[in-house]
Amino acid sequence: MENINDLPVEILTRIFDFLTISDRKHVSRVCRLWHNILHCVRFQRQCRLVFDSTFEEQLSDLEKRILRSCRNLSITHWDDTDDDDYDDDDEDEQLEKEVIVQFKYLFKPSPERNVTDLLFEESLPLESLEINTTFDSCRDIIEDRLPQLEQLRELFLSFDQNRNPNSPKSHPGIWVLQHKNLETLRIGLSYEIDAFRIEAPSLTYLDIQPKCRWSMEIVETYCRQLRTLKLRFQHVEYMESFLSLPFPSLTHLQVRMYDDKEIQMRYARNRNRIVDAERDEQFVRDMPKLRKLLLESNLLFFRIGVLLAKCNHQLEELTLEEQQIDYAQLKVVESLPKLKSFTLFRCEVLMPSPALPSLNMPHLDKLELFYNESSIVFNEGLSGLKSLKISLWTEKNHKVLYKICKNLPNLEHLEVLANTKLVNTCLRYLHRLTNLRSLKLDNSEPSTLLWQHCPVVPSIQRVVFYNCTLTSDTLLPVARLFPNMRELFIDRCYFKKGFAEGKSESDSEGDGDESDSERKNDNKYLNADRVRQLFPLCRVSCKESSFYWHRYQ
Amino acid sequence: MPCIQLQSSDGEIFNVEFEIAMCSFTIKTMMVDLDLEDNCEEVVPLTNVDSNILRKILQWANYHKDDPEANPEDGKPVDRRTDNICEWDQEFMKVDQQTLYGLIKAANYLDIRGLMALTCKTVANMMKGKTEEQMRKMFNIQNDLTPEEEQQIRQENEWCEEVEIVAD
Repeated sequence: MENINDLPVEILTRIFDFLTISDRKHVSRVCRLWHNILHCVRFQRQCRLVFDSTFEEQLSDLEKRILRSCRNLSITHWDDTDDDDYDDDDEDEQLEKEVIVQFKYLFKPSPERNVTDLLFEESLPLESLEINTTFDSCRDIIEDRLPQLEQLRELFLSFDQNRNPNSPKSHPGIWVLQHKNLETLRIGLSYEIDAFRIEAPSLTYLDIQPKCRWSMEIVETYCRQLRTLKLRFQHVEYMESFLSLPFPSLTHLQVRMYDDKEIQMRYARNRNRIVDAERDEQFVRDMPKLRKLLLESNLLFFRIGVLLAKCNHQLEELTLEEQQIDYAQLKVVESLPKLKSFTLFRCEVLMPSPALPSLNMPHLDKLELFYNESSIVFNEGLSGLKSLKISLWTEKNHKVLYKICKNLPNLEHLEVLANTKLVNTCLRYLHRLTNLRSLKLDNSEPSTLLWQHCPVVPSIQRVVFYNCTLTSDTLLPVARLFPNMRELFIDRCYFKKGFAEGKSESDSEGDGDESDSERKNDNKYLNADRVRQLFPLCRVSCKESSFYWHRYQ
Repeated sequence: MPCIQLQSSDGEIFNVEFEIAMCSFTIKTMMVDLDLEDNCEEVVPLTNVDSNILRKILQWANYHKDDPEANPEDGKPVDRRTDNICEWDQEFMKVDQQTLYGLIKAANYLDIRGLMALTCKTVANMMKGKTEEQMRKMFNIQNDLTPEEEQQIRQENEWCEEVEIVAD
């Protein structure tokens, strides 16, 4: 027995039975065999179907039949008003597609009646349920009848108060959600309810959405068993009580808090810093399993970042968003011993001198620097990098690209969002990256002339153009530049000219998800077959690419 | 204690307590069908299971011999959890992939339900929380999907893509 795929299909099927729906999504992308297994009827039933029902009439037999085998249901409340995307596919076609069911229903005086019918009278074997609606229409269901759905493991609730202007803004009383097998809960409430309580002993994943008003008590109840926690704080006071809780099982933490300069200054002045430091250290030590951390809060990173480094923490992935980071903090990140992946998103790095900061992290595999105010120097300290995603705007940055190509010999994947000149520069040095397999260019207009002078890059197997402006002339040099290319993606690109002659028989594979009205207008879409003729040895995908300017629509 | 003799594919003979061998529904059925229940001299050949795997299986069966017998008809919801593996089993499952697959195939052939669930859960746990790329690496699988197919799958999965954006 060499490989897992030598196991009989029925055994693989039994293994996949144990996975959650989100894990199955990844599994179905691993290889064709796994994808096919997950597409047999048995698993299809666990998928969500897209299904249009106004709920004005009783459910049809067909609808009931599909529902009875459905494991995964999403109920979305549609207003009459925002009905633009309404896709009027007939039911037979939906059955054929066997994708996932989504109930969209129009606002009626008592939609809850219909939802109740749906969930309980058909006794659905639901494992995953998502409800996007008004609070009052579903409160009774969630409170009183949810425990009846015994197999339920994932629940996503999102309640909006704007749907019905007549509904009260505040709901008195404690709202209780009970379920003994529920593992995943994502909840967003824009309502001001007095309090809500969760009684879910199996809970391991908690995501409290921005709009939600919540109390730390919920987190406190489950802090010892949670493996994933995502929170947004409204007030600094919340953070204080959060930092006093232990999270021994937590592997993935995400915290966002709006902390402006004033809050930071206030903290610097008023707090008893020594007491805090001791408690913060305890907090960090109480999370031995944490591997993935996302922070959008200067204050929180200031407080626990240093301690993570001090405790020699095993953190593997760190993302910092919307922050100002000074040189000292960058050094803290540097000293995290097991860090494999580091992302800076919409951040500003503050340096004592005008020099760009450098990072000395030879063990780092993956770095993403996107939409930041400043860049960094790519020198030997990052020579271990295998994957880099970077956005660059000013032209002085061509040196940055040069350094990337010179100093990162192990790079396998490069993604660049940059202006056209920079991209052309980048291409000229690219051949120095002898291990580069995959290149993605975002939002640029590669010029034909310069491309012709670029040296061949034989290592590249996969090229992605995303949101780029191209001509048929620009595509031709691609074949020469990347002779070993096996995959070419041209997604959401705009073609200035060329390929238009092909029309009418076009639009087959690449543009699967257009609506009917767009289909009538064949020649505005790129003819994927004609592109394929240019690259006979290559798999070509053209998704949402067109001859009309529609990038910003 | 009455024993029966099991012979592995490579010819080794194992003396096994009757009670332990009965964890396998295949052997149980065989014994009943062939009316061997009183005849302990008979050697039962297991042509699909080699001695290494059989030894492991007997070790597992010995530890679990006092477990209550699972009755699939009792109407409980199907066990789909993977975090309820006891410590002894976790330790027992610390084997290389080759042995693991051998155990799965043998548990399937011998119809040992507890071991089948345990091994499948173990593989499922190896898949959990991983990206497709990580799984390919872990299980040494070649990606044989075309970009079009990948994109199609992505579209089919779009509903949970949304979840993922928040989740990751």
